[in-house]
Amino acid sequence: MKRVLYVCADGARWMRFNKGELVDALEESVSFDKPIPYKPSHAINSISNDVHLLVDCEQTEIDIHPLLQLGASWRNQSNNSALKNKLASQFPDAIVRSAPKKTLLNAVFVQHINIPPAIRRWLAHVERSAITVCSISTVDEVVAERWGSIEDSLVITASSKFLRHTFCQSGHAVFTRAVGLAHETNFVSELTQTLAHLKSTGLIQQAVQAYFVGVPDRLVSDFPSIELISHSTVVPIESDTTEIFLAQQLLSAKFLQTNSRYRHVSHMLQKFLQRRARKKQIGHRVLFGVLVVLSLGFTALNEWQRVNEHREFTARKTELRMAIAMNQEEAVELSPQAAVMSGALLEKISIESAQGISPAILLTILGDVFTQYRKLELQELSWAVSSLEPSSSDAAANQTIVNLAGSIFLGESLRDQQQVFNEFTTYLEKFSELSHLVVLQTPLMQFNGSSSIDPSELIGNPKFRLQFNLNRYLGNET
Amino acid sequence: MRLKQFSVIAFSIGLVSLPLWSLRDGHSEQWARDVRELKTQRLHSARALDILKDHSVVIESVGNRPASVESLTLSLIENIKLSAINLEAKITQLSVVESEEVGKNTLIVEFNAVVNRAIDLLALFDAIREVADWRPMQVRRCTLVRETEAARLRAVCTIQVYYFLGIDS
Repeated sequence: MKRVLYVCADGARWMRFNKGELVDALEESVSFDKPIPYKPSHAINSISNDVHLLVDCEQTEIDIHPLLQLGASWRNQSNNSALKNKLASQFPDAIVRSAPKKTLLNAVFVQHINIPPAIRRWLAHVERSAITVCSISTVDEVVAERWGSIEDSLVITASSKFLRHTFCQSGHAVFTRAVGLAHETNFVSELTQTLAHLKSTGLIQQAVQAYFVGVPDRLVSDFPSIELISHSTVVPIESDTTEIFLAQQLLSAKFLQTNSRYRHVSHMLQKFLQRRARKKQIGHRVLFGVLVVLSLGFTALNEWQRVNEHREFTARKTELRMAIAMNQEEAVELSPQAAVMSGALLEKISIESAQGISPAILLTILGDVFTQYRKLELQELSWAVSSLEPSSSDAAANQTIVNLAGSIFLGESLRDQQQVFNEFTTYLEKFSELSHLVVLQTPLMQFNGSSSIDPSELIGNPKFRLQFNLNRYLGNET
Repeated sequence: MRLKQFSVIAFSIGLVSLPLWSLRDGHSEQWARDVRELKTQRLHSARALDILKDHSVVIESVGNRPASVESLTLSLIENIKLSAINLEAKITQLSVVESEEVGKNTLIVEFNAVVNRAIDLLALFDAIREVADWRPMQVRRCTLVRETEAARLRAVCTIQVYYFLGIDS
């Protein structure tokens, strides 16, 4: 539901529209008794008090302050600020609207209406009933936006008392003139006069479109062709009055949404703007507040996590230090030189893990072998531990390289001696500690390949030499 | 107006930079390293304690019979000679020398002996073991040669006995 308040010197008309259709209308006088507060009717007093104000003027006002004085020259390339200042001094209560792109229009347009004091007082009186306006528009603006946006046009509107000639360019009213209805017989000549003035000021150079809004049929039915009017259009009014029709046009006007931006605000509009600004401000403040809360919350969370982490680490470190101190205390109770002693014992374990095979085991193995093969005599035995690096596994320690030299006391053939030797080496290889058995000399090797025999060697006691590795396993220590 | 603008800008910068500052690299890594080091120390201390508990006999021996390198050297020589006499073995050469190998302190015992049987050689090793006590001992190399005429064995051996500074002062 949208509300429009139409005011002029005659009075005020409240109008309610629903989807562009008039629902109800109420006429009021703008005079009031001061002591009595304004009582809005039930039609006005609803949940939302935002009202669109549509201001019209009397003929006398137009005659006094036309948009462009009849006979005055039109000055182009006006300076925006200078013109505003001039108008502000000439019309201190003017509603000023300037074109957003003055280069298109070659000038700054001013649509000024001085709200008469009586109407102003009445509006203030109404405002005390908590009714506020959300936009202020003039009839000239509505006319210009509706029929003067696309092309230059001359709009002739009719009210109950006078006809208004409004020349529009690019959606702005540039010139307006009021002609009393008493002169309606001179309708065409007055119109021609208006066009001549516009041409003389240079505002129009060629014929323009003409619109007749609310003009009685009797005036337009046999409208003659005029040189500076290219085409005329009669706009039908379905509403009872021109004011209602203009109010409907206002509600569909595109500029309505941004109307308040260009206004020197009245006290009524100011309340609406303040409320809107307050809402925006509240919105901004809420958003800002949320950002502050999020920022501080995020920071606080991270810092809290950091503090917790530190606390946990400190507790853990204390726990570990206490455990270390307890161990050290207990160790000192066992030995006053606990640190040195434990180090020495660790080293001892490391050394012992890397040692070669025990001589006792070595001799036991050899004793077993030579007991099995008594025909072989051991004459030289040597062993050496290969390295003393600590072993990394329990499987094997350092190797012991063993060299054996002996002779075979066997009176049989060389073949039998070799066979016995082979059996001996085979038996030796069965020991798991033994590896890399290398036969350096066998009974057969005593011959140098010729039929001659080394006289220093007795064929009956051939020598043998062996080399092998013995590995120590921790499991075989027993 | 300028002051207000400046305040707004400063506040906005603060609002953005505060959360970013809270994401700074803290001391977490350092703390984690400290905890890891302490855990390692604890393991070491626990291990040292276990070793001391497992070697109480050694601790007692060290406490009751403190030794020095010189006393070890003399004891080795004396014991080898005594053992040789008991075994009716002949020691033709005997030396005990301090040595350091791969960061370990050792006494190198070298002897040339003539023994009746191989088992007598083991008895000589046992004599060295008796002096070494808990200290590690290693027969580094040994050569046994049978003397056919005398029916005896000539032994040339090198034995390492490890000692520990701080205990064997």
